[in-house]
Amino acid sequence: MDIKPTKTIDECGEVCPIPDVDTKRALSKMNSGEILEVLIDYPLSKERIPATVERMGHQVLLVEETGPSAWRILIKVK
Amino acid sequence: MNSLLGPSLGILCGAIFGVILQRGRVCFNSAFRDLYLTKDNFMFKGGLLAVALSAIGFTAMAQFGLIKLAPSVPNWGGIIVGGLFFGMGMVLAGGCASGMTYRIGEGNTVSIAAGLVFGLSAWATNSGLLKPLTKWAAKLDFAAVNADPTYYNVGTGGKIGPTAATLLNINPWIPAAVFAILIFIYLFATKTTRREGANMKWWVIGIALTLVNMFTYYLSAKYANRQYGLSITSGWTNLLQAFTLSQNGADKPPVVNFAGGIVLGVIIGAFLAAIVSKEFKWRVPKQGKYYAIAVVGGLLAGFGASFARGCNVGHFLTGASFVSVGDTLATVMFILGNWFMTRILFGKPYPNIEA
Repeated sequence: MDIKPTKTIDECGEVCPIPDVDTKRALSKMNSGEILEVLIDYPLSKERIPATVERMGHQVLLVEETGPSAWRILIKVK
Repeated sequence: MNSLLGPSLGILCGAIFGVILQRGRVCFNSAFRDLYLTKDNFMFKGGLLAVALSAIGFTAMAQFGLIKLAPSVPNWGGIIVGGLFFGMGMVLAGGCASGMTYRIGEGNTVSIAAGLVFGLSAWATNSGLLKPLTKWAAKLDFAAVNADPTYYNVGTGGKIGPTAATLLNINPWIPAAVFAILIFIYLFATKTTRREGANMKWWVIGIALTLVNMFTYYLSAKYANRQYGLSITSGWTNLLQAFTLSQNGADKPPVVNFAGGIVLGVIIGAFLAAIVSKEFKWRVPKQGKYYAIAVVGGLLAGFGASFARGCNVGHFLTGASFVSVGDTLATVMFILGNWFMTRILFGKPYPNIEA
């Protein structure tokens, strides 16, 4: 999927809840329709971030494995 | 050879526990924190189910003479102050006692720092710098009277903490059943937060934790003369002592005991589970400050767990199943300390969130 993110945050090396909280803080500063890219390497965050942002009403476009225990998540701001 | 049996069985139990922790992403820090921060009760329900099932399981095992129930003797200062410090410390350390231990096995370098400092701090509180404080607080110990030796570990002058059964002078089955029913009502009458991507459902986590805890309690009581289920804090202290001290000036060093084996086992089990699931990675935060924060967290949590005589595993997962005053109150203090530090570090609960 080739989507150009508006903003990228690199949360590799951070553990829960820092990636979750940083994601939430980044989303709150963005405008509707913009795309946030989150890079993570913590397995729990791969499960938690999509679940949490969906409950907040945003749209998860993609959760993609980019390497060994590394993922990128694309979120469209509501 | 016999002296190796206890620690070996401890490692076995710890390893099974470690696999469950890693695969289930079981973390009591996030279980407590997310109740407040993201209004998510998934992991908390998993832990609570384990406590309810263990309440029945442990009582049944005591009834059949397999184990003796042994809630630790609490004191008000330890439970309240220690509980709050442990609750605050786990947020800073990025994990509860079991959380930081199993993440070492996943290659998390912050958890290595947090875990070692946690063990040192618990040791210093128990028998080092803060020993005078710990001894002074012990004046406010309150042990149970009327404990029924059929069920409780009071046979050879041993003391235990008061439970609902000893306070009301009733059969332990009654509070265990009432407690379990109340928890079941909460678990099944309230909405559980959905987690689509989760490896294990919350009830699978709860049942798995119960089984490993009953298995651990049985082996520990039968082969290591240790009447307790899973615990973490004393194991960390034991490991550090076993690898650094000689025993009373003798050439012989203290040995790794069953509890120390559990801690080693958790790291080994989580490591194997992470390797098999391709989730092992040396994880290094880009900001070095997270090491410093985790060390402060380890200090607070180690002090708290030692002063309170137990961590999230000893007091909540195993201890609350005794329906005892100390363990239950400690759990409440852990949660309050956790919420307080979460509020300071991560702010108010997430807005606009659907339950």
